[in-house]
Amino acid sequence: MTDVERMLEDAGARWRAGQPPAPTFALSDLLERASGPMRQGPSLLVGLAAAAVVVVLLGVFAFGRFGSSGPGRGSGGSSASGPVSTGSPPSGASTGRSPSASISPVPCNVTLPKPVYVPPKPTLLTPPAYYDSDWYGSARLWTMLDRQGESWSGWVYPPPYPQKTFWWSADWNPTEEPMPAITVTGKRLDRPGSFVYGPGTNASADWGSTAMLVGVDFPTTGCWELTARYRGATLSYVAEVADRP
Amino acid sequence: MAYERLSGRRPPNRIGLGRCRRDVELAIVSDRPTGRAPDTAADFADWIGPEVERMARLAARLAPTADRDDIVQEALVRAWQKRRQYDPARGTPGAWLLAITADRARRARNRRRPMPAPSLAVVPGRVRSADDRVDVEFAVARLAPRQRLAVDCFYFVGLSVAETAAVMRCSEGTVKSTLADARRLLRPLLEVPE
Repeated sequence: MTDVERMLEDAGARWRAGQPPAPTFALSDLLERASGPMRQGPSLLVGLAAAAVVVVLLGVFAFGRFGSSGPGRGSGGSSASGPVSTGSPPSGASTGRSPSASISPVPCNVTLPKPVYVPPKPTLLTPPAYYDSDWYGSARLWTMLDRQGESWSGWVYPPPYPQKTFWWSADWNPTEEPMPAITVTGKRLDRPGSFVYGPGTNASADWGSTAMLVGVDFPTTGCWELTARYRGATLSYVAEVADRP
Repeated sequence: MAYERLSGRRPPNRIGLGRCRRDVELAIVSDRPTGRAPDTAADFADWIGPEVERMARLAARLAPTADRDDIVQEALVRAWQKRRQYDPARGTPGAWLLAITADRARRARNRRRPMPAPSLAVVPGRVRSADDRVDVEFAVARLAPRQRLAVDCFYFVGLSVAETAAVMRCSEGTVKSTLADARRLLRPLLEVPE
C-alpha cells in the first residue's frame, strides 16, 4: 500500500467513525405510505395516451362550443366552469411567471418582496451564486428567494407537500432563542386553503449566518401566499406549488 | 425553475476519466443471496434493512449540505416504487440501492435550496483543524468530479470496487483506473514523495 492509499484509508476510516448512527425508519410504514401504482413503462405510455385522448376530446368539445356560441376565445364560458379566485392581490412585485394550465386553472403570478436586501454581516452580502437567488426583506425579517420567484415541484410523496422555508432577522439570536417564535402562514390564492406553522428551529449552511427554519406542509398544489411574522415584522411572497415531476 | 434545470442536468463527461455509460452491463460478484425484490412492504423492508447504514453514509458523503435522512428516505421510497425493475443479474441489492441513493443525493445537492440539518452543528468534514484528515479532504476536493466520486465511494464510504462501479454507472476497470489517476494527482497535493 502506498502512502497516498494509506492516507486515504485512514481519512476514510476516521470519517466513517465520525458519522452519526444510521437513521432509524419504520420501514414498513414508510413503504406502505409510499405504496401506489407501480411505475412501469407500458403503464406510463398507456396513461399518457389516455391523457392525450382526453385533452383532444376536451379541446374539440370546447372549440365546437365556443365556435357555435360566437364569443372570442377565452371569454365567458371558460370562467363559468373554472374555480373562483379569492381575488386577493399578491403582495410585492410580480415576476409574471405563468405555469402550465394543468397545475392550476388560474395562472400563478409568483412575487418577490422587492427590493433586494443587503443583510448585515456575518450573512453573505448575496447568497452563493449557485442558488440563483437574492435576499429580500429588511433587517427585521428577510428571506432568500429565487430571482425568478419560487416555484416548487418534484415531490416524492403524495400530498401534503413539505417545504422548508428559511428566514433571517437582525433581532434574532440563535443562541438565546434556538426555537424562534416565528410563524409562517399560507393562504392559497386560487382556491380556498390556508395553514399556519411555527415556531421555527435553526439551520446552518453556507449563508454565513444561522437561519430560522420553518417547515411547512402544503395541503395542495396551487398558488400560495406565504407570510412570515417575527417580533412584529412581516414578510410575504407568492410561490407556486406544482405537481410536475 | 432552477431546480428543474439543475436536477435534470447530467454530470459532464470528461475525456480521460473513464467511458462510463448508463446502459453498461455491470458484472458484480457477491456471495449474498440474490433474487427478485420482495413485493410486500414488510419483506422489502427486511430486504433493504442491512443496506440503510451504507446508504446513509453515501448520502452524507455525496451531499454534505443536504439532509442525509431525507435522501435515504427518498431513495428507499424510490427503490420501493421501482422494485420490479431490480434485476439480480445486473448486481446485488446493495449496489442497486446505493446507485439509487447516489442519484437522489445528486438531486439533493443540485437543488437550489439545501436542506441542512435543523441544528447548530457544523457540517461534518468542513471543520478546519490540524488533523491530517483535513489535508486529505482539501486535496480530494481539488480532484475532478468523477475522480472525487470514486475516492468518496471507495475510500470514505467504504464501498467495494463493484459497488463503486454501480454508483458511477461504469465498469469496475474504469473505477480502478479512475482511482489510480486520483491517487497520482493526490500525491503532490499531499506532498507525498514519488
